[in-house]
Amino acid sequence: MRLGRKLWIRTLTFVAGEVVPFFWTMRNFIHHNPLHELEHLPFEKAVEEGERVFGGRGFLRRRDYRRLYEKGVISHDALIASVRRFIREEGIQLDPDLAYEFILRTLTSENSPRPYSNLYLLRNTSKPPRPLIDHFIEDPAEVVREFVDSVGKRITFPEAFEVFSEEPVTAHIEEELARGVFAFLDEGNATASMPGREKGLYRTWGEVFMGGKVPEEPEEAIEQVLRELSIPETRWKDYISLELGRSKGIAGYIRWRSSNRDYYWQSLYPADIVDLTAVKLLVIREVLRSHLKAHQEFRDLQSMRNYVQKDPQECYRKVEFFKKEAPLELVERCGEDLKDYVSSKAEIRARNFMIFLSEVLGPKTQVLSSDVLIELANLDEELERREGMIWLRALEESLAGDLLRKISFSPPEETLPEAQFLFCIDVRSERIRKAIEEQGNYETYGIAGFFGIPMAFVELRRGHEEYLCPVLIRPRNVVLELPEEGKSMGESTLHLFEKILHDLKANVLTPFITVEAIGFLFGFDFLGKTFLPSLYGPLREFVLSDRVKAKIRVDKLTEEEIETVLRRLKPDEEQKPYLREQLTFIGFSREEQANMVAKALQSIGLTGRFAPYIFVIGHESRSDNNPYESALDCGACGGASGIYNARVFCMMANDLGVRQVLRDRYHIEVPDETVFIPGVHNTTTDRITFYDLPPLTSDLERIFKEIDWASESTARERAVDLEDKKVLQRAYDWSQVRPEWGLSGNYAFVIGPRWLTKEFPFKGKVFLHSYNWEIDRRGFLLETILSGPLIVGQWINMEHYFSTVDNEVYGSSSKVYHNVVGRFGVMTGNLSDLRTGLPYQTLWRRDEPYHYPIRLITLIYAPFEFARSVIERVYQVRNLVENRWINAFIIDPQTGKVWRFIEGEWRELDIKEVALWES
Amino acid sequence: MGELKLYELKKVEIIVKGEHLSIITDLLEKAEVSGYTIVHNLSGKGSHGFHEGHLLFNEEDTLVMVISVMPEEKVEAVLEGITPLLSEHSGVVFVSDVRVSRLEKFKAGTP
Repeated sequence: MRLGRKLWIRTLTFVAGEVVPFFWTMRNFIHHNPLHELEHLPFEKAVEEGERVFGGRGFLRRRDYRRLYEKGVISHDALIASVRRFIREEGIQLDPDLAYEFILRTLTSENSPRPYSNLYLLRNTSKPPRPLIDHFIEDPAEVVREFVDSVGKRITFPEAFEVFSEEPVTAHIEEELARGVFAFLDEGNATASMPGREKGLYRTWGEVFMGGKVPEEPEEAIEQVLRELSIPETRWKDYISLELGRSKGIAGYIRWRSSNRDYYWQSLYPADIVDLTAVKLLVIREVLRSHLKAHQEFRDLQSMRNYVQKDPQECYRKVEFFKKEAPLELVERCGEDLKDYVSSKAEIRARNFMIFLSEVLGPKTQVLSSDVLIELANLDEELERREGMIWLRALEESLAGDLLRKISFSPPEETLPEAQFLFCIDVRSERIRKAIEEQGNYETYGIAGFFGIPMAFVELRRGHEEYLCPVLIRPRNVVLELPEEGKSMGESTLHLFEKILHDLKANVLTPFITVEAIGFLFGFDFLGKTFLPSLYGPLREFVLSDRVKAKIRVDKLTEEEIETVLRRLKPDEEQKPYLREQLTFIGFSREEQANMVAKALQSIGLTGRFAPYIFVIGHESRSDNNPYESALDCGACGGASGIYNARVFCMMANDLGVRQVLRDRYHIEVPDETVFIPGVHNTTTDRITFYDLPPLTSDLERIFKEIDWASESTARERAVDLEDKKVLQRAYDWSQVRPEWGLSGNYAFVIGPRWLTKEFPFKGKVFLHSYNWEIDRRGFLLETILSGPLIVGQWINMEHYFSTVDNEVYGSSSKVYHNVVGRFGVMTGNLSDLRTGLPYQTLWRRDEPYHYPIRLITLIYAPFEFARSVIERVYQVRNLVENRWINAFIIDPQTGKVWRFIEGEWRELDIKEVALWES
Repeated sequence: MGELKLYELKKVEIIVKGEHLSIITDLLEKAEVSGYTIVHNLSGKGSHGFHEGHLLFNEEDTLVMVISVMPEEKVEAVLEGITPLLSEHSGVVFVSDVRVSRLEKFKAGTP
């Protein structure tokens, strides 16, 4: 193949694959927006794209919204306002009052019958006016032409083939694809592994499943199959997007894997989206071939087009059944006289529409002119497509109004608190923060739960490197947990290094353990691809047998220590410089430490008034038999527990040398008696466990007791939401499908001082990031909060949104049927695509959404012009605001005005107006 | 000082968003270009407005530049290969003449 052509197909495939979001391994579940790659589009457009590519709904069903309306979650005023806005924006020709009445009644009245439903039974009515019947008459030739034209736009070739041939090829294709790809991707779950995987997905699959009878290069395979199916080249990109979108779990995982080259399994058995596309297209070819004998006339798109022209009647019948549009009483006649069928169908539709209309509008239906009736039929069709936006805006206005009414606008007097607490911004922190504040003179802060310390952490007992930071960044420092043995580097530590290196060289790989390489510290290139790291087993034996007490190494290794390690390891001369460099990645320098502590404290506005005790609390969860456990852990720590980041932060902040630099360079004066104490909040039980404690004082003892009280009252409060008093038991019950509600219900993100939201309980549904604009002259702190924590919050919010509105497509459906596949994901039943998103039980309860799906309400407390300019310069956030992926509000402390971004611009609201909002 | 012999080659500079970096490096590797340099965290202004560099906790949302030097015959393939990306996303490519002293460094993997 010519090089330029090959590269063109590669890039085309990569770009086509971009529509599929990353899927991270389940061991580190990362909340993300299933439409992340469509965020350059306005929300509503992206939802349409999602429907096209993934077949997912972007909104709840009407009956679910209506139930929220009946319960008062969606306020009546907000719904009215939303309907009026829709009429205004759509430029609807009808009399606005009539349109308004029609829409509102259609949305809210009980069991409105659908005029096009084939289940709808005909009742006695007078014959509808002729023009209305004509309005519903279809041109069968046009219908089938449109259907075939949609191949590559809305449907794939096999989907069209299935309709015409009536052979179930698509399920067969998806199964064959999953079988082949899962065999390749397996990470030690299968009893026998696929041979020769180091050659990459395409070649291995070709050899094992096709006996080597495949084109040499994946790019060639892609070109061959697309040409064979006669898909026009101008449509290739969209076509590939569709095919990958239909297998979005597998495609998302392969996309994620190939963009993380140091992911252990990727480096061992490489796969990319070009491989996957080629494999899928070859599977399609094979499956179709087995049916072609009987269906030559549909062998490619061109033949399909010819056939449709030749026999439109037969094709129309098949499309009718596929779209499930044939009215029940006409089903028998569908294959016979086409003309008669089409006009009878139109009449039935017109009758149905008239019945529907008289239920909605009452007797006045009788006096409406034909033109108006047709306009209403058009509006009804438009409404069917667009009503989601009306409901969504109404729900958002209701919840935003509710939030703004709870905001306090006057700062309290400041006193020195007895203790300060730093919690993660996670919505679950809000409950326990409030409970702690109620116990005494305590102050709490919200900060991203990695406390501004991105690190690759090597836990002694697990022996592999984990990135404890948001997935948006790559850590540049490694922190090791080492055996404790006094001040200098002792025998066991050296022994540990020796072990690591020995294992790297020993080249034993047992398939039964999960080994993520210590890629960062002892990268693959260092020893070459011939050496496979197998650290876990031996290391664990070593650790457990000796019962070593562990300590965390935060400081950099000294020159002397590096020399000692090198002397002990005796690397080859050529490896030596590399190894020396790798060893310098361990730990943080004093300046780095001070910088990180300072940035973290500044970002939450805690730069003076330090209490004697400052608790730094990460969070984690506890559940059994739950592949989604990581989804309940700390998102800011890459889906892991936040405890190590908390401990490292405190070690840094307690270091006298670091405090000296804080004083000299950052003018942050931490009193000598102030001590930082790390802890971890278990969100399933609400217990807080502390680490690295200073000597116990009576004050401290009392504080601990009060924290215990706070834990208990939080758990009690949560028990109400869970409808279960045995909160603790849920953490250990292996049959429990809902150990906790987790982040469900999240709907807002507040950036500002605590007192803004202190008055009201938000029931663990609001992200709170502390922030003080007065110490952020150039806006760098706000920039950091917007581009980091807010983005993570938006991912979480959108994951919940889409998993709620279409749990089958964007979520992972019921947990009950989940099976773990290949150690990295779950599937439904025995064989399916990888299930992405959140399970049904996380978001729904008794057939009602527990999570109210709305776009994150983001509230920034800072002067308007300043906040707006910061949003302007962070491209990603500006894009989210302008394309309405978040609802942005700014509260200006200098003018007391509230600003919001709505209908394409920033508008000012009066606070009094806000307070009166639908009250 | 002896005279330094210089050879004519092409320099290709590609600026794209951070999230597309892997597509570019894959492309260059598949083209068997002998090496490249990546410059992270670019700031600047273009048709999509101003782009801020040096975000503290987000490395995807910045611009990157990939610089590589290659013989003329490869430039065409690389340019053909990059078209699908540039017709979809923002980015720019500059091709210019350069002269290098050690030709063998830039000729590796020439077909």
